[in-house]
Amino acid sequence: MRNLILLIQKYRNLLFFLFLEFIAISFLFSWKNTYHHSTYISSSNFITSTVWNWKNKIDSYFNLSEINKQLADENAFLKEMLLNKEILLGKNFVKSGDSLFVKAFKFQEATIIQSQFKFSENHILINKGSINGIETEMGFKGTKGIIGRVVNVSAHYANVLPVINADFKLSVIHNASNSWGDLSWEKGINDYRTATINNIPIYAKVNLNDLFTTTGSDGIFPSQIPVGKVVKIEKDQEAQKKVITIELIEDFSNIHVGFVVKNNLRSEMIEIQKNE
Amino acid sequence: MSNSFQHIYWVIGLLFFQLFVIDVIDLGTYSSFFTPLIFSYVIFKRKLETTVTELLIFAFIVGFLVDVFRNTIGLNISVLLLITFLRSRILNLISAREDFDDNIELNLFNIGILRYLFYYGVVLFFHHALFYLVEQFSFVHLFSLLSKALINSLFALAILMLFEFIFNSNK
Repeated sequence: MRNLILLIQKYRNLLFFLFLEFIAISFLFSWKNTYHHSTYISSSNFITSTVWNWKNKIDSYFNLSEINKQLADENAFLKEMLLNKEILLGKNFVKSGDSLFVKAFKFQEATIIQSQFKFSENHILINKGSINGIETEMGFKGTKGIIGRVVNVSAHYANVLPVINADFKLSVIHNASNSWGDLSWEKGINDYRTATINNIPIYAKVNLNDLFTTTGSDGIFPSQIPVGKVVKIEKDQEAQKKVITIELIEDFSNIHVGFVVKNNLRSEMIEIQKNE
Repeated sequence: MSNSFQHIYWVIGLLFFQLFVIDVIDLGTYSSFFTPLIFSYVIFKRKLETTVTELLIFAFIVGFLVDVFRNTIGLNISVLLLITFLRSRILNLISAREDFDDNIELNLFNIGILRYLFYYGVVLFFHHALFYLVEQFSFVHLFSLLSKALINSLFALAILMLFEFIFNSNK
């Protein structure tokens, strides 16, 4: 017994180090492996998000013209869509409130108060939370294209997992050929401007600058939201697939506003997919 | 007591600079080559006579603060704990024990510029290399990882020397 105590005394630094390291590594793995990690030890908790909010209040003044420009661009784009639609449909045929036309997607504006783009694990913090009706597994769209998916919600803030994080996966569609592919972001290969698309069949005709958009199949985003443009095409002869590098539509070093996308029909969609 | 206040000032100051200045600087494609980690200085500068237990607790707190703000819980804590535990060993490796006095703070003006560059260069490089390794969690692209670690530790060294000249030079 005495020897044991002496041993512990001799190696107390090492033991204490191992104890703390064990705590740290269990934090690390619980964060890497479980999808919904605890709200209290992430940046959407009250104290850290308040600090980020102060920082945002200060430096948003310097970005006002940029925010203005992004919103004006989106406004122009939406107006163009709306005007074209009216001509196509004609007002008389569509009754508002008709049960044939269910509004599946709702959008809520949110300000990005912290965004990372330099790391292997990037995260985004937005200033809307559970009291605004935000839940996990909702999409987050920027003014030009998709940004990410809500993974963690506190009362007033939410964490978004952006496209530029290796955990983000989404199926995308090549507009010109209608081929489906899998969007991913690979550590060490992609930087914050690019992402990789796998599993495009080798016979699909893909050209540089072609647009990839969302499919809407996962129920997180509506279909036809822009994701990125092709900048590099490689062929994998063995798998008979193409590996495509795209340049993301959103510039992740310069995002200030976005919209949380809520799909009212998602639970129905998941139910159906379960039964398959 | 004023000493521990000084530690707190350094922690707050370096964290502030790390999170609000370094992390938001955008250098386009080269951004990943400018992500130096400077907060480890508050541990490396502690006197040699500081007990390892105290240092480890301190490292845990600092790592936790960085992780909570960056939303990478566990990453910085584990790397910082490891580098803190190895600090005295690295010091023994790169210098004869008599080189450093036990009761002085290891800053630029106490230990001289050559030994400063050598000591901080080595520990900062170790810190960056370990950090990128754990962050990436694989050995692929090892060369780009090491070059990133080297370039970033040089940046960190430059920034820390600047801070030393501003805040420590009057002693």
